[in-house]
Amino acid sequence: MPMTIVRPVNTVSASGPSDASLVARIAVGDERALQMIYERYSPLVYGLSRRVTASTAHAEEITQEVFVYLWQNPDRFDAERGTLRAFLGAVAHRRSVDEVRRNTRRVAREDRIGGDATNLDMIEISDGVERSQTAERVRAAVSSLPEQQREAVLLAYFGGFTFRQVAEQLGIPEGTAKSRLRLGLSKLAVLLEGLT
Amino acid sequence: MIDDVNDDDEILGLLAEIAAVAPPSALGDDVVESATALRPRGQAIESLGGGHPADPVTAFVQTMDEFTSVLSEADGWAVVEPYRWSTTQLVAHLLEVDLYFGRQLGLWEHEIDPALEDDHLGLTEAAVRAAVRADFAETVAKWLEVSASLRIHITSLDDEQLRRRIKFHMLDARISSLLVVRVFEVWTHIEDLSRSLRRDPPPLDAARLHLMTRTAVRAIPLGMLLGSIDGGDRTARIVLTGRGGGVWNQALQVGAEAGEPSVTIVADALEFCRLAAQRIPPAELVAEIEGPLDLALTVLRGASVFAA
Repeated sequence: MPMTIVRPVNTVSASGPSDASLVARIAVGDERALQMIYERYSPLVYGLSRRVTASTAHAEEITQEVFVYLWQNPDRFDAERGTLRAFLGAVAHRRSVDEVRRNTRRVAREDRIGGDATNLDMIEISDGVERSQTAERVRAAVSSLPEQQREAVLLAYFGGFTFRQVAEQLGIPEGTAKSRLRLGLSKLAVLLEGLT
Repeated sequence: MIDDVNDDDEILGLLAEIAAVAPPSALGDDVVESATALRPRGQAIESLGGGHPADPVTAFVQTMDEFTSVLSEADGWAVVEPYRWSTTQLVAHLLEVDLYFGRQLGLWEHEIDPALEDDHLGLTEAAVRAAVRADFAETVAKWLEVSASLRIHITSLDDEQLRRRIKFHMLDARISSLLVVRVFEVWTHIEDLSRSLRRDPPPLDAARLHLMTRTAVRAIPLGMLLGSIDGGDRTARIVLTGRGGGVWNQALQVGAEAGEPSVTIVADALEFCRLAAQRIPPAELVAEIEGPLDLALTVLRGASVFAA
C-alpha cells in the first residue's frame, strides 16, 4: 500500500518513510516496518552475502540473520553515524566473512593463493559470479580498476577477507587498504550502475 | 551471533550496492516469522516493568513535587498556558480534581456543584478563581497532602477493588483506568508548566509513557463517540515510536473488535500524548499515514479526548 505523508508542520520525505523512521517503528514492534526495510535492502544483503560466501544457501541464512538482528537490536543503528544501507551491509559482510572462515573450501582457497593477493585471479571472480548473467560485466569492471584498487577489491569482495586481513595480505596500513577499497568500489558502483 | 559492526560502513555499503540481487521470494516471510518469534509484534524492545497501578500516579506526583520545589514565589505568579492560570492556580486545579477523586472513591466529603460534575474545567473553576491570591507554597503543600492520602488509599486496594467502577466526570470507569486519567492530567500540567516557565520537563520513564500511549489509543473510540465523530466499522493501526511507544490495531467503534486496519498512523509517542491531552491539534501532529488521509484525520480528532 502506498505511503502518504501528512506534513502539517514539518515535512517528511515524499518518497515514503525514512530509514530512521522505519527503524524507530521496528523498535516498538512494527513488523510491517521490518517488511518495508526488507523490501528495500534484502537485495543488497542477500547479494553481498552470496558474493562473499559463493553460496545461495548461506546467503539466505545470513540474510535472515541480518534482518532478525535488526529486529532484535534496532538501537544498534545510529542514523547520525551512517546509512542503514551501510549498516546492513556491514552486518552482512561481517557475518559472511565469519561463514567463509568456517568453510573448509575457504581454507583450501587460502592455501592455494598462499597469501599472495595477485594470485587471486579472474578464475576466482567467476567462482562467485558464474551463475550470474552479469558475470562478464562484473569481470570487465573489476579488470578496469587500477591494480592496487583491484587487488584490494578482489580480496575483500571475492576473497571474504576483513579489511585488516586485506591490509596484512597487501602489506599496507589498514587505512590505506580502506582508502583503496573505497576508491575501487566507488568506481565499480558507477561502472555497474543498474546491475542487479 | 553477530558482534558489533566495526568495519568501514561506507565501504561495506558500496560492496552491498554492487552485489545487489533479489533473494528468493519466500525469504521475506521467513524473516518476519523468525523475527516475531523472538520478539512478538507490538512488543517494544525496552522493558516496561510491572508494579502497582498507582505507581505511575505516585511517580508523577513526586515529579510534580520535585518540579515545584525548585520554583520561586515569583514562579507561582507566572502565567501558565493554555488556560492562562497562574502556577498557583494550576496547582489549585490539581488539588480540586484530587479532592473530587477522593470524594468519588468515598474517602471524604467534598462539596461539588452537580451541574458542573461532567465539566472537568468547570468543576474546578471556583477553586481556581479563589486561588488567585493564594500562597504558592501553601497550595502546593495542600495538594501534596491530598495526593498522599489518595496514594495511601489506592495502594491499599487489591485487584478486585481496583476494578470497581466509579463515576468520574462523565466517565463510569474502573478505578485502575481513572488512575491513568490522573496520570495524563498531572503529566499534561507538568508539561504546561515546563513550557510556560521555559524549563526542561522532567524526564519521563518508558513505563509511564507507555501507560499513557496505550490508554490514549484505547480511548480513541470513546473520543469519537463523545465528539460525535463517525469512523464507521473500521480499524486503525496506530504505531507510536520512541520511548513508551507501541503498535495497536484499534477498532473505531466502542466495544467493537479490531479487524483488518483501514489506515495506519505513525507518530511519535510523546507527541501523540500531547494530541490526546489536547495540547496540539490533529492537523499539527507530524505523522506518516498509510491509507485514506481523511480517515486518518478523523481518527486523530477522536484521539484528542483527554481534557486536562
